[in-house]
Amino acid sequence: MKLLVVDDELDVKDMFLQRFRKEIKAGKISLVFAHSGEEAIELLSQMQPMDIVLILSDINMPGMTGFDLLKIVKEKLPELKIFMVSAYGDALNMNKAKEHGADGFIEKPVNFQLLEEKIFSAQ
Amino acid sequence: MKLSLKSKIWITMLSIVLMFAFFVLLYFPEQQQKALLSNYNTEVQNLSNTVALGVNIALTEQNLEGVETAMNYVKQNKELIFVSIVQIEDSTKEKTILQTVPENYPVKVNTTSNDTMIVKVTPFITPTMKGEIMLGMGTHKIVESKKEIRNTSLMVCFIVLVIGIFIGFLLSKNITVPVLALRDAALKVGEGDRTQQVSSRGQDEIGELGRAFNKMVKALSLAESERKAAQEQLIHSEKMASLGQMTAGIAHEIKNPLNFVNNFSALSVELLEELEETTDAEEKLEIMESLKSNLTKITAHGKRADSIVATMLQHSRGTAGEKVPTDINQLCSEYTDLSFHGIRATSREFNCTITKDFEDNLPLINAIPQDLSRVILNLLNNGFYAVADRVKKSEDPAYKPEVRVTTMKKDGSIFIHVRDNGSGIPKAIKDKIFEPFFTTKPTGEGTGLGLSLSYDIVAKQHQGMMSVQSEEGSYTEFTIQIPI
Repeated sequence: MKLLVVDDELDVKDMFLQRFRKEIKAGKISLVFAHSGEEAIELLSQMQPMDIVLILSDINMPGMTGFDLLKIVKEKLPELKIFMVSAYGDALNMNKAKEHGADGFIEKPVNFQLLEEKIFSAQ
Repeated sequence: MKLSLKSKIWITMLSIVLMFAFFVLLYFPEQQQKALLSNYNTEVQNLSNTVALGVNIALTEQNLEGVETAMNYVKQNKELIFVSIVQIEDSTKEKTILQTVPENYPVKVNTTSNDTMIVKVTPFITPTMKGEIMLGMGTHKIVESKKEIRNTSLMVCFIVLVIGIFIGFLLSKNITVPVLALRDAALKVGEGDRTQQVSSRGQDEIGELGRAFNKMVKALSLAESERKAAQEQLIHSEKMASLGQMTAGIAHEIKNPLNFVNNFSALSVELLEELEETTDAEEKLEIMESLKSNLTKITAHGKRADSIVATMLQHSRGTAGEKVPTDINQLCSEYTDLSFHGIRATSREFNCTITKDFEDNLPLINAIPQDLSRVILNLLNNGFYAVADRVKKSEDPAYKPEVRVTTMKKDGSIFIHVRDNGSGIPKAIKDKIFEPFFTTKPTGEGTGLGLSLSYDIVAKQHQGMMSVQSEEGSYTEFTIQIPI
């Protein structure tokens, strides 16, 4: 299963690689990273074949926000699942994510156990 | 002509006294003397007539003793200088002095009145002779009484002068002293002293004026303290509002490092367990590298959260801050982020390109960070508001909101520019934006104090300058200049 993680914080990459090191080693999961919405769109459009099944995207990013990305992804690749990750775990944000067609909502700090469950149940 | 009230009172008083003195010293004595002289002339004429009558009767009766008696009638008079019987020749009209009392007085037939003597003539006719009586009387008495009048006048003048001076002092004391006190008090009130009160005991108009003044100052002071309290309340709410807006930004800013701290520490525990289990030397080394890197990251993100909390505390503290060497780039960067996340927290749709164009190696400047940060936050908030406003109003899909923060060193000062490509400031209100309570935002969204407080912070606390350039519908750029 290939995941795309979009976050402007650089240490996110390291965190995910460590957290899923066993799954990566076992070949269950592979991770791709983008540091902005724009980078994610470009990555998605250039990928051949497009085998990503889930995007985990931060909401608050300079430039294109997670919601912008969500809209574009749902428009172009409606099959692709996308989870929103945000420090603002309030109802407004969650509802909006749902409205825009997000498949899940993860609050920061990320509870990876919960995330793992969600990832595998979404499959 | 500019004259003080005191001078006017004194001039009036002295004019009255001088006028009085003129009448008493010059006019009245003159009139008195004229009256006395006219009386005296009549008196001398009467005396002369009486003597002439006596002489006439005596000569008609051929009684020489009677002539003597008539002459002696005036002899007793102290003022008598001479009395003469003059004979007039019928044919030649020539005058001859027949007899004079006192006998040795040198009388001439043409002797007339002068300053010291009044001469009166009474003609008489008897069957035997035609003649006249010449009577000369001294004016000594008149001169004496003139002197007496003058002395009395002088005395009266002196008394009037003394009374005048006394009244002058009294008037000065009762009018000018309270008026001057009122003026001084009014000046002090004008300078901002609201504790001034004047004496208000008098029952006259000046006393009333004093009471009215005291009442006015009290009302003014009350109004001012009310205004001050209201202003402080507003400043406080402005602070709270910006703090509230910041809180959302701060929550985001703290949760991000917290995310790393929590997860990297949890991961480290897992890695330690693996380290204990594994026997492979290479893998051990790899795990230890990861652990080291995790701990470094935990420390870094912990510090990051700490600095954010410190920033928030600084912001919420009062204005009694002290000047400390401050890194302007760091301050601008932190508060730009805080402002951005704050806006993002309240308005999800908001998007904007932020450009930080900071000159490297700026010297630290002595500044009050919590105050200066409020200025930056305020300018950024305004900038974001302006671009959001333009997005709302314009339908142009090509419009890309942008806020640029620039710092640079130039001519011994540090310049901070905050430029947005938002809706701009209309020319008509450009002069007013630094005025307290001026706001274009809807009620409840702005106190109208942000820019005025910012201006005060830059100009008064940091001896700097704050200016604005803008073009409606195009851009706004605020410039802060702070001397190094």
